Formats: sequence, structure tokens, C-alpha cells
Amino acid sequence: MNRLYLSSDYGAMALVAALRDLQDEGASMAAKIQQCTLWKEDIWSTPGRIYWVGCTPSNVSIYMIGTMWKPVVLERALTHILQLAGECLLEWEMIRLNHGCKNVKSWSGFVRNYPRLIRILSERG
Amino acid sequence: MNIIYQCYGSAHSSVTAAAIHLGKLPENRIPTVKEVMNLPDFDRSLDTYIGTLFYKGKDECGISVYTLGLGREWQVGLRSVESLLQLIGQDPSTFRIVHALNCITFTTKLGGALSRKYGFWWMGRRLAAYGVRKSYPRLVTLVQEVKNDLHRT
Repeated sequence: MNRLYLSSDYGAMALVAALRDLQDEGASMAAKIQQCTLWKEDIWSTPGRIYWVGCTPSNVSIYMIGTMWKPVVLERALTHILQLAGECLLEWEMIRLNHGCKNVKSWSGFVRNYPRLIRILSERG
Repeated sequence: MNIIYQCYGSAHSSVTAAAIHLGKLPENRIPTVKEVMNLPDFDRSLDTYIGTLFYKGKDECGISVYTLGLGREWQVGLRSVESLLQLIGQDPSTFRIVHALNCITFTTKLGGALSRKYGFWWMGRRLAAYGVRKSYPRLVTLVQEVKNDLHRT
């Protein structure tokens, strides 16, 4: 089973949602996001690329993608391509996010533009 | 093997390129405005279908031809499709995505906007077809390049 989060930005909101889905213990959400942006330096500078974020305890692979425009368009296109490639659509769950972090291309940009969100993510763990 | 002609909304350039590829429009002359407008899918796709893959038919070599509109951020869309194919381990040579939007002129884009966006389809469709005539040699060259590449592989 695969789950893909799509956000209309460079991928910041999709990464937040994907990491929340992983529900692993340990560092706070904010720290995990920072860690991810360090591991995959181009994660928010290459919208359109699908990144593997992790695997849930129930063995669901979590992916994220920044779409820059209407996520519904890419959701539709990717669904059709999957079908054409002979993949089982039931193995793929695509989750479109209603909100995006516009103009966020880096961790520092995320901190600068969304300080309240960072604070909430740090507190909630 | 699948050929996907891609443009903004799967209504003009990709539809015309697919029609040339499938022999529905001539390669050796410029079609009339009426011939272009007679294509059943020319200037028909709505904005709500952006992202939808349309099957157009099989060519003489048995290759499936599709059209796909990826909207404003088409580069991002192309990257995501390539990324997905890589992810699922699909052989990249079984898909060829051809960007057709660069082949058309401003006239077609204007006609398309008038027709699809503002609802002036009577005038917009004719203007788009007239624009396609202007850019037709470029579309034919694009299709011929694709076909030549296919024959080489």
C-alpha cells in the first residue's frame, strides 16, 4: 500500500502531512521536518518530484509531492498513468491537501514565514 | 509503447499532433480551417479535464497515442509523471511524453482562451483552428521527429 500527499506549494505542507502520518515516536515534528530537509536538500526546490518519506507501522509507504498548481490536476494525471502502467489503483491512495505554504523553498523559509506553525509543531511533538 | 502528446488543456496542440500522428490530418499539406474544426476533439476539452489522459487510437505500428493536458505548471507535471514511472519501476522506454504546446502560436492560445475560458466558442474555435494552420508545419515536424525516433528504436 502506498500513500501520496499532494500540496499546492513546493511540497512543504505535503511533508508536514506525510510526517504526521508516520506517527513515529522521538523528536518533535519540527525537528523531523528540519531533519528531512537536511537529508534531502532538494526536497522543496524540485516540485513535481515524488519523495519517499517513510513507512508506517502498518506497512504503508508514505510519499510526498509539491505540485505548485492545482493538486487535483496531478492527482488525475498520476492516476491515469498508474492505470496505463498496469498498476493496481487500490494500492495507491492520493491525498490532496487544501492548504499550502506558499513560497517556502527551504527550512529557513519555513521558519521565517510560518513561525506559529513551527511553534505548534514543536510543542505537539 | 505509448506516445503521449502533452499541452495545456488537451484541446488544441496535442489534439492536432495526435491527429497528424494517426493520419487523421494530412502531413503533406496544410489542412483547411474546416478540416481542423471537424476533428471531434478539437477545442472540446474543458478545464475540469486537465490532467486526464485521453486515448486517441493506435498508429500503423500499433503504438497507442494519447493526449494529456497538464495546465500551467506542465514542467512540474512532467517531472511528477517521470518520477512516478521511476518509482513503480516502469521501463521508461514504454512511455514517450511529447510537449506539443511550443508548436502553436499566440493566435491558437487566444482562440482557445476565448472559446474554453470565456465561452465565445463560435469565434474562439475558428481563431484557434486558423492559428493551428499557421503553426501546422511545426506540428508536422514534431510528429515526424517522434515517428523517426520510434523507427530508429
